[in-house]
Amino acid sequence: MELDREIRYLNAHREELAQRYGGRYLVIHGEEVSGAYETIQQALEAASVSFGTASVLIRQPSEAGVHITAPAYSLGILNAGPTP
Amino acid sequence: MPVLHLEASGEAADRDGKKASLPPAQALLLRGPCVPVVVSLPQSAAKGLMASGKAVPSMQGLALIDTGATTTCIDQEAARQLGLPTIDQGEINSASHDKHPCNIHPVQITIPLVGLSVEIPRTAGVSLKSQGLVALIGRDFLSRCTLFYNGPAGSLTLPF
Repeated sequence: MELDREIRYLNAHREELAQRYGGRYLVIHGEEVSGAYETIQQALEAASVSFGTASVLIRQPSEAGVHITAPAYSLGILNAGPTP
Repeated sequence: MPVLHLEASGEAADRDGKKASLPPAQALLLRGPCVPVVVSLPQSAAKGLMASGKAVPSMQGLALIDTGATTTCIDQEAARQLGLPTIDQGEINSASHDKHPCNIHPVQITIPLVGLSVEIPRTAGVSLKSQGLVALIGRDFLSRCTLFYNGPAGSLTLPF
């Protein structure tokens, strides 16, 4: 899975990173924090300049992860195809 | 203030296979509130590409407005074709599994009919292509506008 290494690093250093960077958005590439930013847009821009479109982890240290709720998708009952 | 007003349309085949236009109310009932969109890399995440003189790829398609979805979702195949970076891993419930992982991508959704672009920093990559969709518009997008769903008229209005 993509970003496994980065997520493992964040989980292992969560408290230390939270103390150091507070609520800022971190750009993590490999096992290195390449920057900390006030907004996610700033983090995206910095990641784009440094890494192009390569995958990097962008997350606040205190965030547990992204949980998505989409019941229609989850239940497989989306019905937006062409009309019968 | 840009206002998007759409009247649903669609065709249905009769017993002889002959196609006929559906009334807007019926088309909206069957297809749901769909909007033509263009998806691409957001401006903020495209700085690197633009600095190197490369074009920012985009893709046209249909997005279904889903008031039940917390987060906007992008078709994972479209995300791959557009080269959208993965910026996190998320979890989404599925019909067959309690939770399964999905890639999180930044996306810009443009509604060409009103010339409006909305940057969504975190969207979930899921399989939507088989439904003829490129995106599901969730409540993170809808938090920026008002939605009028007019079932009897078969129309949809979004003032931004």
